Amino acid sequence: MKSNKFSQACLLDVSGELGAEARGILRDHVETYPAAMLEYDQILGRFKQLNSLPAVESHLDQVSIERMKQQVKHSLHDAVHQEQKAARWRIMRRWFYRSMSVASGVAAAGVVIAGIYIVRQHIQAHQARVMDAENTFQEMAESHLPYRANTPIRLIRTRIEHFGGGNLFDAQNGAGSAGIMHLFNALDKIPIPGTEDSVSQADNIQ
Amino acid sequence: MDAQAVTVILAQCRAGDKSAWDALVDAYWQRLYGFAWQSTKNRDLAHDLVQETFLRVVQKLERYDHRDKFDAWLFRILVNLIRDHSRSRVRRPVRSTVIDASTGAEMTDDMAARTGHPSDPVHHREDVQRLYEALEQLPEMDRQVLLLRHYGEMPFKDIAKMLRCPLGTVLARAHRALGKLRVTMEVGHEVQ
Repeated sequence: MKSNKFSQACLLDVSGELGAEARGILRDHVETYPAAMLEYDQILGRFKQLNSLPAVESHLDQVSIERMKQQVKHSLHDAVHQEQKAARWRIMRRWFYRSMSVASGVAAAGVVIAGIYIVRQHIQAHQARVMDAENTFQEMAESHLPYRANTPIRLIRTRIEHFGGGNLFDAQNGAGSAGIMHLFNALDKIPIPGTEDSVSQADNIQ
Repeated sequence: MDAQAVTVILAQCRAGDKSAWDALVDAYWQRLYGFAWQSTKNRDLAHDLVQETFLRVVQKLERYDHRDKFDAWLFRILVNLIRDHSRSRVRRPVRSTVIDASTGAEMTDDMAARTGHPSDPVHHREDVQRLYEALEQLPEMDRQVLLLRHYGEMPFKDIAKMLRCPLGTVLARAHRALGKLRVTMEVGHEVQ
């Protein structure tokens, strides 16, 4: 066993901190070697000497001790009271901040939801306006725009009849109605090259 | 006071029970005061430092880690306070005075301590005086280890933990300090 390790083990043993197993090994060593026994006794003696240092009572009477303890207790009570007040204040402040955070969160969520609603409304209104415009345009195209070149003659005739059925022309009685009827008949007789429809149209009219 | 009892008292202290704080003072005041007095050699200062230690406990109890020993934690606060104080005052000794009841003479604090209790045998009082002188001659860290062991009643393992150094270092310091004490005492006897 190394010298410094041995003295440290002795110190731990006299201090009562050595485990049972280690103590057994140390005792065996001490009993085997007289020099080790001598050193162990020296350390024990020094440790006992340290323990002979007087306790507090040797230079303070009991009254002084109690008075000093009471002073400490009194100042502690004040400090505990102050600490409790501070702790209460800390808790209140924490709850205040938490509730403010929750309120802010709710408000932010409200703003976001409201924003989304407004945007959606705007988009829907815009879509409705576009659809209205498309419908209006389609209706206008059907009723007022000029006919295209490949529109069937029958359809033109229907339109002209419809047009002529108004206040301007009377197909039965008006002076121009005979002319218009002639025009219809002439139109019906005109064949359209490359279409079967022209033949069937002519048959139907006849 | 065993660890379980300390845990119970500390829980009561946390709940604001003033009688628990009183119990804590009763349990530790003497050990803390003995260490503080031996370190400062001033009764009033030792009293103030012990009081300040308990006040720090009130402030820091919420942060106390239960894995550490409460004794070690308490003494670490006191040791730091003593260190701070000695740094700030640069070893300017302030000695409070006490009145000797038997003679009416005014004595400094350490003189009163060295005189010891009137019922002590004379040779014992002389031994104690020499022991105090020997302790004062020790290096700061060596003395601290011995005082923590004696007044703090702390095992060397806890002292090592508290001072944040290896157990071997603490034991080496204690061994060296005890050796010096012995030599000083023997020289004193030879002179007489």
